[in-house]
Amino acid sequence: MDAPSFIAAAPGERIVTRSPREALAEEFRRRGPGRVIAFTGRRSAELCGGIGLLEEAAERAGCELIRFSRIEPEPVVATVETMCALIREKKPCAVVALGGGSVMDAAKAACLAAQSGWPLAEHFGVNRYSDCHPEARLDRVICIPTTSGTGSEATPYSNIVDPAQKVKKLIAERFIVPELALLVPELTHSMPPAVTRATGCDALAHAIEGFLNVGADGNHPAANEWALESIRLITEHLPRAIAAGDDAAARRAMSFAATLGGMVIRFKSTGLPHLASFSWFGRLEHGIAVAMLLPACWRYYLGNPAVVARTMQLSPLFPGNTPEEVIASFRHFLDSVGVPAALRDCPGITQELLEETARSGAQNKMKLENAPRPVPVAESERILSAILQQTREGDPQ
Amino acid sequence: MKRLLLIAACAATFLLGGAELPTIYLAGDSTVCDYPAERAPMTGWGQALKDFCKPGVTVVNLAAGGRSTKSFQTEGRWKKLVDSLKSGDYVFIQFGHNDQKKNVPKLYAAADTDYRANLEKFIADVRAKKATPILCTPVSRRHFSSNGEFRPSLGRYPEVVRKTARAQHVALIDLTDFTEKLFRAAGPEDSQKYLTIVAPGEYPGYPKGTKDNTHYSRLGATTIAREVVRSAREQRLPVSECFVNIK
Repeated sequence: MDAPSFIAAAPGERIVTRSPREALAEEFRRRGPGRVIAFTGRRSAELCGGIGLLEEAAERAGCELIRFSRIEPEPVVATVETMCALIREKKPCAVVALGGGSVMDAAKAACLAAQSGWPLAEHFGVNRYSDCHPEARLDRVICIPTTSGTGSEATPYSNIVDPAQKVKKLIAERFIVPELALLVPELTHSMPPAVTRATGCDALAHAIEGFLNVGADGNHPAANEWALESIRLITEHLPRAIAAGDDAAARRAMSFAATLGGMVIRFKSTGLPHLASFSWFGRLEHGIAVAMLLPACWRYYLGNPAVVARTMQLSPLFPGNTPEEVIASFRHFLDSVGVPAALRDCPGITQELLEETARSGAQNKMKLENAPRPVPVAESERILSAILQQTREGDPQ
Repeated sequence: MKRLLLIAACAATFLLGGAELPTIYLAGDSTVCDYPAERAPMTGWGQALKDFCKPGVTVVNLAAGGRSTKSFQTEGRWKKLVDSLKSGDYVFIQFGHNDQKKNVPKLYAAADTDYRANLEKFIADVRAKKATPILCTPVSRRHFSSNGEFRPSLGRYPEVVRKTARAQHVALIDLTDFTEKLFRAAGPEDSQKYLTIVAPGEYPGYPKGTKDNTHYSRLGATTIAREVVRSAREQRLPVSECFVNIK
């Protein structure tokens, strides 16, 4: 794969794919002098070697590096508030997130709240801050992903867990799309196979869900091309990346594919798989959950003729003569990378949870109405219940 | 040497007009006042106004929930405000919601008589301290009829503010008119976003949700504060010196 030196979904944004060390030092120099706050995973930053990259860039730019690494795999509101307080106290010239989706999401939320001065709770929702202050210019987090899945380095999203309500809450805010992200595929080599599988499946779900979101085609002219390229790269390289973590070509392809997936869902949001699995954190890896839910959701979407046509565009990647065969082929791919066949095989996913998931789906009216085949709120429990039971039992074919 | 430099710096500040920046005071009710984080998203427009002020401008928001032109005085809030005023300061005044409450004597001020007289006293007191009063008509409640028509609920109070402003030659920002138009344009459904209308669990302060058609959300309060800034600029009011440029 011959990637360009950087990619950009919008003017003023750069996702750097070549010479990231130089780009980072240059950015620190541009923003400095001063302190750089680095939000990182608890151990992954050392394991992957990313912390060395940060230290080197900070030193070259004459910046003081302050590190915060107490971020849970599913960051909670209190952690983000602590991070926010740190930013307010230290007044850094730059904030960097080095880690997976959790670290990047938490950093994006903390950086936003630190500058808005609002309680974090006020940011949950869609463009809460930018709708109030469209003229504001906020400093953005510099993202350096160490996994290949979330695409958070290219999105306006931040998922934060509210333990009091036992739900994951979403900030969708255009002011938190990173202006600079660095793709350093070498940092993903240390990901164990299970994490590679789960994050890779998340990236694949992003690309497919976005591609199937026919109602959002007008949001960006290139988004479907990004999705197709992302799906192609993942189907070709995910099995290799799982089998051999040090397969540099596979890691590079996955890294690029995940970022493309993020770019896709920025403009063409995810659908029912993401809605249905929103409260499953801690029970099943997010990427595995959304990938497993996708076939049943996809079959429901086929009630929209535009999705039928869109599905057949994927037949070169998931061979099949009918939409149903394409979906079955997608499921075969999941089998090939070790994704469980049925939710009943996943200990954390109980029948009670599925029933509660179907009931609570009605609360996310926007995602129901914007699904590739819209779900009437009044019927959401019945429809979601059918999807969840299908996924519980596994593919009928 | 150090002393010489200090004197030079002071002289430079004086010659360059380094006068003390004005303070903006707000006198009003619960639609204007500051709210703690646990009441989010409820926001008073005086609270939101701070986001539009230049660095160094102090905003003292003395507005408080449940106050009328009458109780704001009897509780000593107005005296506190006037005692703090210095020449060149600005005072935004917005009441009406609680003045309307006929069945609460300590609040009630009839529109054409007591309410008007109270506003006139406020204006005179501020001017006596060589500060500048700015009257605001009260922000509207969000009331729609069953067929979706907007229903004003502030009676004669907004008109009395307008009349008083004209008679006293005081700057007026017509927030009743602005918010009524805002609600009419948005309609019964979309206008909810401007108020503290939240679903159960959406905000920690409202575990059971709430449907408050009087108190604004962050978006509503910010939209009003933006209108205050826009209107002040459009009218070329001197208070505009305190505000940042907005589109």
